[in-house]
Amino acid sequence: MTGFECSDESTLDFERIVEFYRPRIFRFALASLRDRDSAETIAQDCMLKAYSAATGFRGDCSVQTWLMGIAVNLIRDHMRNRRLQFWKRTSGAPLPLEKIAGGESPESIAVLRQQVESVWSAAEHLSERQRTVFLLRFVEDMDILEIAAATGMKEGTVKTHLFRALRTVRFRTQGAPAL
Amino acid sequence: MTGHLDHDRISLSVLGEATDADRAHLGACPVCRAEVEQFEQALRGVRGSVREWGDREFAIASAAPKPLYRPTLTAGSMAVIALLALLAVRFPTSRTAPAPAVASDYAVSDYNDAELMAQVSADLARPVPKGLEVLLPR
Repeated sequence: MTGFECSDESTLDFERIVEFYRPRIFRFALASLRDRDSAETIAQDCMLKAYSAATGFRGDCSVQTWLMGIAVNLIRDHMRNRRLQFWKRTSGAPLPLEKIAGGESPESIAVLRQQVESVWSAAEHLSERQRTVFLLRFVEDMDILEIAAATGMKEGTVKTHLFRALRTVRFRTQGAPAL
Repeated sequence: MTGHLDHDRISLSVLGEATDADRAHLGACPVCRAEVEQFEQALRGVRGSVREWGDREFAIASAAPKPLYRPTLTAGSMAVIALLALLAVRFPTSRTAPAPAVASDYAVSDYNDAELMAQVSADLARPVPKGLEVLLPR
């Protein structure tokens, strides 16, 4: 299943949408906030918001892009609130690296795992917008137009944030100072 | 080969935004090509790991008992407080309420202090509580 056709709002089968997209929204929120409880709340709120706004969905974009757009806003609000709750720190959860493998030697797998860990660690230090476009592009596999629609940014702005995000990640993983 | 691609140009190459000159350089330079491929591989590794982590955490979150949804909990608490406040206004309790059931045997209002103390002393002198006296051997 690749997604839902959304040309007609009356065809939105919300039960299926929740079943199909909730894990994705949860994953995106988890990667953004690195906290399971927060991700669960975001995924739940996202579905509630989508349900109440379903009649306003015109099908200009895919259901995934529409839901990601709602999630992006919820995550932004959540992060702003969390900034005030300075006592409620969430630790960066370790990424499971066991399945990173291939046909390479144990040494090269170890190097790759280290690089993945470095990229993941560097992504934590990106600005909110950079992290959002970085995750949408490299984890959720969305293209520039979809990211622009989900974030409400212009295509050029998305490209700029993406380039800066990638450059920062590269600098950090190479041990060079970020600009 | 003079001058490899810098961080910016490698990043642009990963994004598919390399210039023709950079593409030509990548075609001819194994070092830069390896850099780009390594970076792309690391990004693919992040994707795979995050997806696996997301699936795992989602399964845990779905299996865990659902806590009461916060707004519901807040609304419920406020409703209970409002109800209690209403009851308190409509049925005010007297400050001179009789003593609780423990002292019911002493019928508070009918005793003066001396009589009350005498009855308490008599009760304390019983070998067993009053209700259990029927069980004593006669």
